[in-house]
Amino acid sequence: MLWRIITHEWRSLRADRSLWLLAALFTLIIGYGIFNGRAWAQSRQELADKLAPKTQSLIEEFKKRLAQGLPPPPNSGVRDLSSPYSVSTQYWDVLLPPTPLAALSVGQSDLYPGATHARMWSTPDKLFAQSEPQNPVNLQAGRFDLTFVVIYLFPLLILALSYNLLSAEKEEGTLALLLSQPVSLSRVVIGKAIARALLLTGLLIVASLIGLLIAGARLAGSGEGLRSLLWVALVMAYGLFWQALAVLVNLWNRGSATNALILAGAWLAFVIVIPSLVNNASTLLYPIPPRAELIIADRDAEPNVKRDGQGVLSKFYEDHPELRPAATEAEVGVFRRMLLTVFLANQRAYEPLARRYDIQLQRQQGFVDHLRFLTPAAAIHEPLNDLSGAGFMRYRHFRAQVNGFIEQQREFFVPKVMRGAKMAVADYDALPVFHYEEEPLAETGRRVMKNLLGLIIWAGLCAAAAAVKLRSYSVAGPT
Amino acid sequence: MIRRIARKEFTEMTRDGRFRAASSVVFLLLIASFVIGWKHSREMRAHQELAQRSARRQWERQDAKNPHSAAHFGTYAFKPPSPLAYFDRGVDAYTGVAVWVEAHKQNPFLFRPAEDATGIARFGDGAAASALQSLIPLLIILLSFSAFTGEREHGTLKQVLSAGVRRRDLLVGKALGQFAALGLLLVPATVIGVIALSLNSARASDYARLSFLSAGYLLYFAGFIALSLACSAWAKSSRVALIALFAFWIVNCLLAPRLAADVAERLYPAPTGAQFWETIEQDMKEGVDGHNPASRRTEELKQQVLKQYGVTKVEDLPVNFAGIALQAGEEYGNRVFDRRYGELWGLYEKQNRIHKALALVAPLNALRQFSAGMAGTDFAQHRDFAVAAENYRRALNKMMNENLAYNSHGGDFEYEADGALWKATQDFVYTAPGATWVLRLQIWNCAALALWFAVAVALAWRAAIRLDP
Repeated sequence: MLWRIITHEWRSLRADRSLWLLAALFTLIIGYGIFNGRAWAQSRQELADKLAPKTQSLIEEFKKRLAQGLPPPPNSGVRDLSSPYSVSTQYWDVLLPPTPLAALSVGQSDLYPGATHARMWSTPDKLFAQSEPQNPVNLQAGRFDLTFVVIYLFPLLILALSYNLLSAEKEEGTLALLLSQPVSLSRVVIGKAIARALLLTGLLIVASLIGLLIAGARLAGSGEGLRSLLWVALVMAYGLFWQALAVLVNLWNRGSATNALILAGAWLAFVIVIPSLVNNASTLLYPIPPRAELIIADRDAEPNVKRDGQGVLSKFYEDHPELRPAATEAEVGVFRRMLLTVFLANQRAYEPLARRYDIQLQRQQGFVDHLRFLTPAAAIHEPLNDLSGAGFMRYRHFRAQVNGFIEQQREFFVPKVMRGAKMAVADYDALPVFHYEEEPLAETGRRVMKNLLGLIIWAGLCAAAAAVKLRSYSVAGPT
Repeated sequence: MIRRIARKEFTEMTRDGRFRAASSVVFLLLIASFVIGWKHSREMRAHQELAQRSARRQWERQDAKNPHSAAHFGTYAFKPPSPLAYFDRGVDAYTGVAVWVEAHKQNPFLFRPAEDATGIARFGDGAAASALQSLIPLLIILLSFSAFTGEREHGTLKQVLSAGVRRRDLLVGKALGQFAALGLLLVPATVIGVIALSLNSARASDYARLSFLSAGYLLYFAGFIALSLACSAWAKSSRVALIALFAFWIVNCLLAPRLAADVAERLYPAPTGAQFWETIEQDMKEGVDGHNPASRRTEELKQQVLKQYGVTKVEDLPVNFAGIALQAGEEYGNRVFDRRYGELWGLYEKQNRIHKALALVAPLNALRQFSAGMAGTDFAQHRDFAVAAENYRRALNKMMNENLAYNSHGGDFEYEADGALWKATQDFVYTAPGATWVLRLQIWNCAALALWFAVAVALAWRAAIRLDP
């Protein structure tokens, strides 16, 4: 019986010409969103491909020239290939490559740089403090990608088809006739809801998957299969919520026109108003300390360290007697070592200041993570970005690895500089090289599952409320 | 007659439960965003001003050292938020808050607030301007979509027209009535806005900006009222009117800005940070490197200076060649930065032109830029600050280098300047441009808004004249 209701609904929906138009428009919009996402992902992939071999070929070049006694290549910043101090000034590319599913979402990847360069002398946070040359007007406007279509436009499609799910039949007078047949109201309602949910969610998922395949995204393979599956699950849960909401409003028995207004208001509230309220609340309750303070505090520490430069150097040799140079050094060598010691001391002074900001930002993130369940739109936003690799957490993971790389560079170069040693060809083989290691999929999956659960709970709440309202729905009486 | 119709429309609207509920919610949201925005921008201003004073103090309290070392330590320019930033955050979240003023480099700005925010900030900044740009049009649509179709469906339209009321009077009356109902919401909001501005120690030009802002928003809202009435008069049923207007709202408020951003980025792609700095580095290598005595151009300069002073060795010069070389290097670098930053900012201009072009279809694009411009939070005004900081940097470096060059002699590596020199430099003071400066940049957006209003009114007029009871 249920299946008969569903097929009947499909038949009557099919007959409506305007719905075909709507479906075609929606498919076009999905295609455009994927097209944009792919263009963005492609430009990032091209950059990654261009930069990836540079590091290794530069190291080979250094080794070759050092072995043959040639001067350093003109395009590098190094002046003396045998001096660890000089080699330490070379910048190395650090890359955050796009994932195979990057076409799904531009997310935060237009705000955070995916390719930068680091060296021993970089300060971990300041490295990322510099603005990328992206037009701020474009950043403010946001991008038209598949995630935007899912979060903002997909609910509208569902509501457009489901706002008069039940009220149309009642207004036309056919509902009473229908229910005089041996079928219960709940079966009718469920059948109609499922018919629409299958149709629309199916349309979105099929169109997106085909679009992604055309765009060249890899959907199978080590992590991508699970990610695609999670994406489908998220979209289904989100669609289920909006469908259940439409059913709930219909069961309030207010008439089609009122239903439309209430659902439009709900869309506005959940998708536009509440997220910005959550944002305001989070900045109000967990404000980030002003960055200006950080800058001033950092510079306040600096002159003190410089003034005590000679004293700091002596203390360093006291702590590390094995690194004291054997013979008398040229003035240049002494100056360099002093510079390095002063720099390291400055870094140590800066660390706790920067960490304070990081902790506050994490607190804000934690607060938002809880508050995001106030609206399904916010609940689905972060996992959609996460799955495509354009989320906040992946970027944090990248930053942590870059900081680790800077630490590795220091561990490699500082002893050599302090000892006054020379670089040999064999040393170049031991040079730390940055390679981004993807976060274990279990971590990403865990975060996504939490949000998925939230969405399912939302859908469940609406469905439960609908079930309650169903009992008091008056079929024949006035609305 | 028009007045009577307007009064009836106003009364009907203000008695409508939907209007009361919707406008109360919008009003509360507006108040909340005013308060939060005002608190945030006030705190930001205080922090930035304190930091600017601290930076000056740090500069003045430097120990005695080589002036070029002092130039490397440099100072910071902290961008103060505009007095109207509480209303419209514009692109402030996406431009950095401070820039390091140092030797040899025109640095990028540091610490964009958006990077310190969570992902949910990309949903919208929740400033009062966003609510006015998106929610008020929706409120207008809600109220006006059944202006004519509702009357037709209730049968009162036939009665009114048979009573001899002219169609155009009906249109104007309804428009005025709804405008007055909207005024109940907007007038208190404007008053609060003016009070907030006055508490922000604003200048006369800021009040001028506020009045231009109000005019722009009024045009925008009036256009929406006209469009809603046009749709209502033209549509066969309320449902069709509502769908058409809602679809327009979606295109205007949701799709148009993002479409513009995508098309702009595709037509005029911005370079990555790596590319941008690599290009500058390449350019610099061609020039005078004050720190690298081996560079060819430094050698040429040295010969020129030696000849100028009639000596054969650098150590015999009455001036310090290091200072001269450093300043020559600076000036070359400045030309490089002018060229490359000029190209980048020109690229942004071209991208913004796409946004402006789409303003003909979606008035939100025009209003957004106009609003940010008047509030002092658009890119043009960020650029103005960046240029001011850069000019300050150049003057500071020049003073340091000339002090080194002309207060010591050739071969003097021990020369040090002290607090007298640091204190003799100018402090960095920035004055934001006035309202007429902004207005000149916003001519296109003003024209687009005026065109939007004119077209909407024309549509409404045409639809009303052909109104079929």
